[in-house]
Amino acid sequence: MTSNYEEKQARKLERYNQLAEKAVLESNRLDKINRSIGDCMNGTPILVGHHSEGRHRRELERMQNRARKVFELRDKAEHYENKADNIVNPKAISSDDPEAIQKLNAEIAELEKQRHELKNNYVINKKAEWFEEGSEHYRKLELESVTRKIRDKKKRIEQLRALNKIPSEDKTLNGITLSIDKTDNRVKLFFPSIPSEETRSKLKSSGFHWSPTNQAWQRMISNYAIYEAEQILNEVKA
Amino acid sequence: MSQQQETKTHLFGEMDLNLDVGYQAVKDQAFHIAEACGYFIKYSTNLIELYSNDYDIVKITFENDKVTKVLRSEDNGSNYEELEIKEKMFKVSPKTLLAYNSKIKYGNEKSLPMCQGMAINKLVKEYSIPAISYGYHFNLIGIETHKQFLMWRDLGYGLEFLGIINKDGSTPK
Repeated sequence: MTSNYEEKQARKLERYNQLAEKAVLESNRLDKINRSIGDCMNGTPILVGHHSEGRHRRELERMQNRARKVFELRDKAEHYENKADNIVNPKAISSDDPEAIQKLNAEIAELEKQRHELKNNYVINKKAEWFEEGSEHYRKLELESVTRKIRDKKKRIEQLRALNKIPSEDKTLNGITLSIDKTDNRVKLFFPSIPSEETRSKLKSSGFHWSPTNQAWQRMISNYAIYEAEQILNEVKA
Repeated sequence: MSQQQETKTHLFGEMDLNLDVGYQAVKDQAFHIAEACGYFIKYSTNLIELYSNDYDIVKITFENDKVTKVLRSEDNGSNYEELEIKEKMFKVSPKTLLAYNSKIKYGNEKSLPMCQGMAINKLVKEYSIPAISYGYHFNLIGIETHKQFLMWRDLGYGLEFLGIINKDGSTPK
């Protein structure tokens, strides 16, 4: 049985792949049009004063716009491909993942092994430059980095455990609802209508994004996110 | 340890970034991680600010698409420490540069070996270096200006810039 998180990731992956494919197809179509028109025009100069001048200039402008669009669409395709790749090969363990704590513990065990190797079995190469692998300085930096990673991962486990204890809650003030949704792992703000430009920029600068699916401004649950949401709620009320 | 792990810099939490790939790629990496962990990112033309769920803040400054400064705070921005990034951008340490420099014999001889001579000539002309003398030691090439020594390594197919050292032995800021 697949969990809610896996279903969500699969849906996201499908959507990103579709969007990337759509952008590639559209960019190829526009590129093809540009190439065929380019072949027809074949470097013909603009005949100044001739009845075709205006049409010629407009066509060149359209070609330029299409070419620009082709590059924009390719960038867009790359953007979605990267997003899809990030789902297949995640760069970090998601807080949405129900197995996040187990995964983090496995990473900690791996890092502990690395730390042990660096402490006890690291071979110093006296010929290595100070910044190269094998130097004492490099070992020191690696050791510091691994220790820090272990500390941070332990801290994250604590945070995740603390977040698990936060109860789901709904609070309404002046028609705006603050919802702590444990199922989605999000803090959501529901506005009765489109918030003002000022509120929207405040929401964005506090890390909230508009979710068209949930019709809410939302952010991943954290103590700070809840605090920010409450601040916005009070400010809008005032 | 894989090459990918080696090039990543640990900033906080899960935020391990490869900082050698330019502004846009660093931003993309940061966004992917932030999306997974709920971190918050602010960015402007040459600055990326990363906020953890806790009190960690990291500010990455770019110049010409290269990281020039990484500041990290663990107390919500009260105190910042600079990460050791700038030193990593130099190919060799100032100490090694000084050692190399002591081996190079500087002068104004016009009859230099072809490779070194061509390189020095090209460097001085192309970059308008106000050279007062120049020299070489095997594949090391040095140019002396009024205040500094500039050094390169001849790779046979091009030059690798090693660094700049002030005449008083310090590194330029």
